[in-house]
Amino acid sequence: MENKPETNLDMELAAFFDAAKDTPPALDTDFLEAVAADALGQTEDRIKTDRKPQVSGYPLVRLLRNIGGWQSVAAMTACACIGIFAGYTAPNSLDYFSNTEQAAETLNDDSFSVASDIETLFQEG
Amino acid sequence: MAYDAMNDVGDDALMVLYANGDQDAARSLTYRHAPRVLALSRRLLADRAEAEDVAQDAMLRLWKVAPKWRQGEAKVSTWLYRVASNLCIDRLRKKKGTNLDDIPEPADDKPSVEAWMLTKDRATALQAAMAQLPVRQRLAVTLRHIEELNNPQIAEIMEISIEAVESLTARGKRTLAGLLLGQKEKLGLE
Repeated sequence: MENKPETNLDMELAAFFDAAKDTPPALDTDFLEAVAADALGQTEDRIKTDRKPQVSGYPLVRLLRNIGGWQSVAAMTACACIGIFAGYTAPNSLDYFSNTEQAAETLNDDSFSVASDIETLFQEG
Repeated sequence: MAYDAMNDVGDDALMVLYANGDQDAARSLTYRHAPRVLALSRRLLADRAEAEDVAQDAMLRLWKVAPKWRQGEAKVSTWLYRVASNLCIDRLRKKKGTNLDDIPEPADDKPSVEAWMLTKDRATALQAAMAQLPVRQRLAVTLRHIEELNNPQIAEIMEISIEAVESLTARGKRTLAGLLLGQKEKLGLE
């Protein structure tokens, strides 16, 4: 086949291309509605996905995340340690607090008595 | 807002509206682009059902990509043509060889006057000749001479250089001329 210049080819084929342009495929409304329905379906899927909480990781990690993270775990551990300490410590050791009160009372009485003794000595010269 | 009231709204804006849930925007994009994607697919595949599958698939991919659509980066039409043509090429490569007798005539509901019949015959002859072109030549010729895109647009769709587009269309047209010009008299062109 001889190699015709591009413009000649275009002119000779123009009638065929024009015919193709003049006979576009018939449009089916059902097809367009199906495409529009796909669009709606995608929107609904996206909304569902957005609403679903993003939960990932091991169950223990998820549990810790759900109860407030490491801060709440640290606080609970501290409370538990104090509870265990209070539970295991002998009740006698708590007397320290009551003894201290008694000692303070005794001290107060004694110091007043000493003070009054000194004052008496000064007055007597 | 009705979708036909969005005729003046650009594609990028419609994509944003659709990504925000506006179904009128989706209908507007559908009526604006789906017919062109379907036409390209039918010209490449010469099969109505397959072409509708491809066009619907291409549009579905558009809906999926909408929330991540970057405005100004690609034209919606170019993106759709690229997706549809890749889907068509995949199908054609799987099929390997199409019997010319199997190529259906383009469907239409218009009255069959003599001139219209001649136009239809020319379109059918072109469709049959196009089916003999290698798929990339067929795509390049279709986009250039039927969809009337320019070479840079075709290069973007086909992801090749402009020189490669020119080469593909030139070779395609030479083959078409060899196949069609002998039928000019029969088709009322002499």
